[in-house]
Amino acid sequence: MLKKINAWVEERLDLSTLRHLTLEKTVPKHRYTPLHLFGGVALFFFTVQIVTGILLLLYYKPTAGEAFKSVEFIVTQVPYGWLIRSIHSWSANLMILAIFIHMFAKYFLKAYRKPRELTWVSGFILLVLAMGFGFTGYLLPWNELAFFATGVGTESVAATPVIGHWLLLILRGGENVTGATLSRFFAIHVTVLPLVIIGILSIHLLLIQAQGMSKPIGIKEKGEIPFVPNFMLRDLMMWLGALIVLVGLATFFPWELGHAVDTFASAPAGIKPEWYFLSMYQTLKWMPPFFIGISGELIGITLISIAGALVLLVPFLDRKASREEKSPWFTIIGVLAIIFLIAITIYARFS
Amino acid sequence: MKTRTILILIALISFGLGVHADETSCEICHSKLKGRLSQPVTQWKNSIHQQNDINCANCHGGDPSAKNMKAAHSRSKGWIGKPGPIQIVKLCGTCHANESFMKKYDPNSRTDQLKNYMTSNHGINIMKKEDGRAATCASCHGAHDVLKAMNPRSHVYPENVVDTCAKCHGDKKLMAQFDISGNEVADYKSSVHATALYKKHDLSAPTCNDCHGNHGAAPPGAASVEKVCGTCHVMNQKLFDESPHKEWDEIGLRGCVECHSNHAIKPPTDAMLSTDKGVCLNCHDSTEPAFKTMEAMYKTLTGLETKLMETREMVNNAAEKGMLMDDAMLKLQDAKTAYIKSRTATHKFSSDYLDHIAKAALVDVTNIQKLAKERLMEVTKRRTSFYWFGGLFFILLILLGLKIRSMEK
Repeated sequence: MLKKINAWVEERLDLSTLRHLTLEKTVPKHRYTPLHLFGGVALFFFTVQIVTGILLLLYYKPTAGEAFKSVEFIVTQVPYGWLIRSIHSWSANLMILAIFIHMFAKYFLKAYRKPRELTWVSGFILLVLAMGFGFTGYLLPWNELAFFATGVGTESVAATPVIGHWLLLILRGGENVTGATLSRFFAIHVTVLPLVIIGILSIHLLLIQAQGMSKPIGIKEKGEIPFVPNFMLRDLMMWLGALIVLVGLATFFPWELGHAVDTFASAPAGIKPEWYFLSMYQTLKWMPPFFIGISGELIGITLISIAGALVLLVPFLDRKASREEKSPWFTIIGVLAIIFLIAITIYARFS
Repeated sequence: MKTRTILILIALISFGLGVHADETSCEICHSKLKGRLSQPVTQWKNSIHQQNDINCANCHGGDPSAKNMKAAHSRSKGWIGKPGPIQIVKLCGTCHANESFMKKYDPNSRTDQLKNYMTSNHGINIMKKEDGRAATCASCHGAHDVLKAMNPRSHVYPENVVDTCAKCHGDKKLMAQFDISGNEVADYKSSVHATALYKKHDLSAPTCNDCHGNHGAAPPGAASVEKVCGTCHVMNQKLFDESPHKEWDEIGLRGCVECHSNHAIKPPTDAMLSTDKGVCLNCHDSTEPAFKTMEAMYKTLTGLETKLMETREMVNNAAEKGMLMDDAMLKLQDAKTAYIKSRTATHKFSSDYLDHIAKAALVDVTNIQKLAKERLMEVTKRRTSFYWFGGLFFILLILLGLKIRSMEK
């Protein structure tokens, strides 16, 4: 029966690529192989986001009057609604964490070097998009913290020269964070970003399939393992582990709902963004109001943009790695970047 | 042309230096003097009187336009120098008891202060007994730095008035001369009212003048003390009036003060009704029916308080475990209000009445406990399900690891 179906499909479609993937594709096996698994973990969390996101959409109402109540309804009345919502929030954070680990792993293994520059670039875009998901999704429960934090987050856009105010109006749908902001954040979160991310993600995965997995510079081990089933089973193990951690977190630490927005109330003390924005938040906070006549916020945003651009252009900057030579300076910079990011995030969280 | 330019320049410089054309000779001379002779001008310059053009001569007399001290301090121009206590009261009364004059400045201004003052112990001592040790208007409001009562810098602003009274009433030696203990201020500062005023900055908390009156200052009599407290504690007074204790004043007992004291009023506790150190024991012994009432009320109140604390713990526990407890928290607030109402109900000194009121609070508490128990059971259910799910998937994970190992051997 299975053979018949296979023959029927074979007559109509060219399955040689799929056959290659399942039967012939191999992955280099060396002591760093486990580091290659975090991309798959990020992909797993992304899939969880799609599934739980669709389930939340069944009950969520994206209006200022209904949003908070609808989330409250989801977590109190809908069967397993609490679990779905909690998993969605936890998975969003774990996805970004997995992307960070994946990115740094690839950075230290110099996997971005020729010919995989575009894989790195598309990966960086995916990180930015994932953070965009986080930023837009944070406002959707329309709770007090999200409302005021979004106010602060969108405010920094206004520092952009010439078009700053215009950008702010586009983002907020007016001068202030209102129901109009909620509507457009919802639209961006459930239509624009998913479409763009699926496009970029397809390119990213296609590039990986086309070029295979990179082998770190100077690795002498020549072993290869079949992608199916050996590497696939390793992926599955990681996914199972990720699922246990995810459900455990959602069960023992259900994501807080907070308090409904009161637009007339003053902002509560200690408003801070999500952990993955804390380094940027602290950088902006450290900026003086003005420095040689230029607004501190603009300087901060420029510095963050330059840092982002440098990360994006790493494959083109690391000339040594592209010649298959060791580039210790990039390794040192990477270690310093990790220390800086962790230190500034911890400082911003507890200061 | 040149002269005009110089004149304009002088005018501009004078304006810049803040020299006013209508500055009196009193201000000009006294501001150049030192210490106590210049202080009145400095103080007056920030006062309500200065803002309303009431100047030195309005109280001290003399000629404020005179060019030298002799002419300015001329007795023929009515100069009286430093007024004495009786003069101070009369001088203030000249304006402040004159309704048509005061209305020019403030249509809602009171003009009964002098009348009230004359009925007070302060007024009687000063005006009738000519005893200068008692307080005059200036003793409380300041002589020159007079400000509106609700100005936070005023001596009679709620947060300052106790210290103003304390200038005399905190002086034990002086108070002993009037047969007053002098502990009143220290007692007040240890009270629940002072905590509300100084720590919570609750300006509605009573200070000296709220109970004793401000201008007509006198201690409330035994019959009126409960009415004084009842100004704020309305329900307590109403229930007290319905209680067997309503006739207290006839036997010379002072209402609220007998149980709560007067100045050192502490936050009330259930222990005030306890059978070993309750305040009822001051008058009643264990053979009286009142003792049984006290015992029953204490049991009801402590029982309710224990249940309320248990419930709060259960709600907090469920909230800490991630359950949404907003509805329970709201109901808990209602239960707390019902508990406070129950404590108020003790002022009727009827255990049946207290039981009736406490019943509502008990119903609230029981409902919240039921809700919290349901949520805690839900937590247990969720966690148990996770243990099964997690355990199963963990076994699967181990099996996968073993499979990979055996495949690659």
